[in-house]
Amino acid sequence: MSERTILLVEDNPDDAALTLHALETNRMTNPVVVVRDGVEALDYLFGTGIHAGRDTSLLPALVLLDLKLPRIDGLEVLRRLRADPRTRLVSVVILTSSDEDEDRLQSYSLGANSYVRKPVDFDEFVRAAGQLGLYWLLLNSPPPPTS
Amino acid sequence: MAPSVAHTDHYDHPVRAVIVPPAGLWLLALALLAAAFWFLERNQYAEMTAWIGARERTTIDRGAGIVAVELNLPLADLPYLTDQAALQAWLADASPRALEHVGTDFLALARHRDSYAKIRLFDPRGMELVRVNRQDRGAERVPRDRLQDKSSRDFVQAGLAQAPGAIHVSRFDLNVDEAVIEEPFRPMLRFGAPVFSPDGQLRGLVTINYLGQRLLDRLAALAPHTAGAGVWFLDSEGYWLLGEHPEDAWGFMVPKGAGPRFHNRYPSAWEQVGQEVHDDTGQAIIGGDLFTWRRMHPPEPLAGWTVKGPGAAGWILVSRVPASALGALFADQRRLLLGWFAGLALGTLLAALAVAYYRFRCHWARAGEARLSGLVESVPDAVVMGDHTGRITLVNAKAEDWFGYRREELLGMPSELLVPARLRARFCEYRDRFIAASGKVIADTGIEFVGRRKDGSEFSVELSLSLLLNPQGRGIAAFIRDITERRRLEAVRLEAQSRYRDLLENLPIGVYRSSLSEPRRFLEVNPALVAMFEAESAEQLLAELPAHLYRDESARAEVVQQLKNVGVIAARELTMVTLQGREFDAALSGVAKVDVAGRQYVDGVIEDIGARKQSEREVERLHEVLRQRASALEAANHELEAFSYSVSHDLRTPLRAVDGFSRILLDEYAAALDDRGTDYLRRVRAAAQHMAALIDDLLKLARVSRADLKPVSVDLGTLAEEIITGLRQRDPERVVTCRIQTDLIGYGDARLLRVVLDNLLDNAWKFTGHRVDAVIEFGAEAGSDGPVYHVRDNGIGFDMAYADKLFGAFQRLHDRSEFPGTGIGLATVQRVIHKHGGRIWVEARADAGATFYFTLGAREAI
Repeated sequence: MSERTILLVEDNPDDAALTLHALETNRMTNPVVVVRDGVEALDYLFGTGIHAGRDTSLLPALVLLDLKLPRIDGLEVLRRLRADPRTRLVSVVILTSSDEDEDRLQSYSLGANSYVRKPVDFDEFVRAAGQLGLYWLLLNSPPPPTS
Repeated sequence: MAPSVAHTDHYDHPVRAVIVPPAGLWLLALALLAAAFWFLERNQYAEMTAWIGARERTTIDRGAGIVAVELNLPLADLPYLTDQAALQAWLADASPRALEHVGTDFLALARHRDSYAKIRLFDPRGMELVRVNRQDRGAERVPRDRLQDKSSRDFVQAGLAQAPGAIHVSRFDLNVDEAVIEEPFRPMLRFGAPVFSPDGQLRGLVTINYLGQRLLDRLAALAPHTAGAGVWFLDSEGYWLLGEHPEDAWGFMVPKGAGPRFHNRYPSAWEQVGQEVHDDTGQAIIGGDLFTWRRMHPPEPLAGWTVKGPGAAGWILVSRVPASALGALFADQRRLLLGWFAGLALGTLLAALAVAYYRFRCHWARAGEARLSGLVESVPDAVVMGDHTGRITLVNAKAEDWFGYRREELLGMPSELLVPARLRARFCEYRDRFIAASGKVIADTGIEFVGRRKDGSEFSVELSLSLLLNPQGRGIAAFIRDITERRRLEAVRLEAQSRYRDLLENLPIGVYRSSLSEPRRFLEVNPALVAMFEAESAEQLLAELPAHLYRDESARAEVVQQLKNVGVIAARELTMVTLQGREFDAALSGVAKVDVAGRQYVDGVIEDIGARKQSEREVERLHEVLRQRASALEAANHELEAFSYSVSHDLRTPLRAVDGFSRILLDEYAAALDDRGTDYLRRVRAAAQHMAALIDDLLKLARVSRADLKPVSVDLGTLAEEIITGLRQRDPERVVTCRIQTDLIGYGDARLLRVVLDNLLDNAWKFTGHRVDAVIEFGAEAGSDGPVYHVRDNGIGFDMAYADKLFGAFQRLHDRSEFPGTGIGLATVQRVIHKHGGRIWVEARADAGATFYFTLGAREAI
């Protein structure tokens, strides 16, 4: 279980560091792969581009996806994930600064499993990260592998 | 024809209806006549038969009289002769002298009897003793030497055999001399009486030979008195003595009596005729023939004498009127009757024809009357007919109706009754002149006049008069039409015309009528059009070719083409040219029509749309400006949205980094920091978090500003309860009394109204934080423009002097360290209330709580 990967899609290195820290604080030992934009996220998931050759059968246990990303934004990544049979069932939690109704609506419409707004208060952020890890990595039963 | 016969029959079968009844009557009359004549004929026949019968009977009776007279003489003479003194003397003494005297007596008698052929006296042996012959010269006594022995003769023997007082009458036959029938025939009848001596000894026989020819001649002379072949004379055995043919007679004289007899020829008649035993006249029609008969016995001689012998059986007189003779006799009568019958039949036929003719005329007259009456009733006019004096003779139902009189009230009345009194003289004069103008004027139509009803009211009429030439004389027929309605309609039409004309004249739009075929010209224009084309007069415009009024010939051709093809052109905008050469924008409409003569023309309007065009251009320009502004605004809004989005994302991210890393420093590097350093880092974190709150509230305010209202009915009471429940969960340690009115239904955007109550209740919750007896109320009172809601607390309140600052963004009346907040909440609330068209205001006192009032705009204002 512990080897199940978390894919963190985050362009801001501060936010990435804080997220990793929050995960650490909550003793999440799963390996975290951090990609900087939507294109890299898709490359990783489909084994293309710089991630060509990766065993794509190893799907991340959880994708933490920011919305505002360079090149391909989070909503588009989500749409492509859900459109592909290989990644259609991957758990995706939107982790974003936005509190816009529109963003929430679109995320859920495209099949996001959860939507979490990153709080400014780091204490809250750590609590949220802890709850996320607890839920998605320990409590939640993942869908059966689609081979 | 019976009046009950349906009228349709009148018209459908006039000939039958007219002809059949008289024809039927005639046939009936003919039948009756035939019956009558048949009866009459029968009667006549019977009567004639009776008459003929009577004549026959008379003739037969006369014949009987002749026979009686003729035979009476010998039957009377014979007893006389036997009584003579000479004979008596002779019988007494048989002396020759006495015998001589007998002869003398005989001769004396014979001289006076030319019908006696012989008078003789026989002795009992049959020898002639005295014989007197009747010769042409007279009587003569036959000398004694020429006397003959006649003892062989039947009548001598039969006579001698008679008893005293008996007269023997022989058969009526022909004289036979020397056994030969003497010719010419001498019909003979012999009478014989025996004579006796006083002692009763037969002494002889006295005979008289009676010459029958005279009797027969006299009977034959009766022939003209019978309708038949004559009077026949038969002996008792039916032998003819006098018959229809001379050869028939004396049939018994031939050997064995085989000559013709009556009953050989008329056997059935003989059955009656031969049976007659009394001397009565019989008559009967037998086998169609009329037979009349009478049996004649010899007349009774003097008393004491009787008749014996064959002659005593008597004879029979017969007449026969054969059927043919009867028919022939009746033929005349019948011809007469037939003549009468034919005459009467013809007469009745003529009468029937006359009746039919009369009926025909009547029928046509009646049909004519009915047609006339139907015609008169069916015309849409009132019809009044009058005689030459002007008296009314006929009116129709319309006349009754219009004039209000009943028919019987009008008939016979002077026609001027139907005219108002003031016009009567004029009317009578006109009418009489019309009647008097015999033949010159037959009809006069369209005279407008005034009619007067029975109730005295008057109405306009149009009168047409016609002269009637009746058999009864000259008359007049008036056809009257009520033109009140027409007059009214004319007035209405004139009024409408003048109204339309006024309308056309005063219309600020140019109205025209123009010919569509070349050369196109205006036919009519209104003043507005004259003014529009800057013409001096309508005539000047009418004289102008429309082609000159278009700036572009192509536009004109198009208009003409469309009018010809489609028939309608609607508000075609084009540029026209006035007579002064000025161009202007015009809208042309027209409808192509065809007049009664088949010429095409156009009715339409032309509008000067120069001013309208101008304002249209102005409006278009303003629209353009507005469009530009709107798109600028839209761009600004887009920018604002992008800005807000950036703020929410990008402004918060560094803050999170500031806060996050400060926290990490405090947690993990606390050993490297002194107290001051730790305090500073905490301040950094607090500032970052406050700024994040500010950013969130600003975003909310912005979101409220650009949100679209989706108004629905919102249960504000329930909403307030939910918010209070949330607050109680957030601060479970606080004790706050909340009074929330139920059934507060507001109308507005549910999400924004939640923002309002969120902020107001949150404020109330916040500013009552220091009180242990905190009370928060939410309710509403009725106001002049809908309910006035309020949120009341008994918190710290504020000085009303600063109330104007309260709703500005970032405005705070309290120390943030004591009552944290961004100062944007009430600004957001006010924005929402204003968006709903409502008002918000506050009443407060420092340390005495605050009450926020707000209204929501009327439902339709949102």
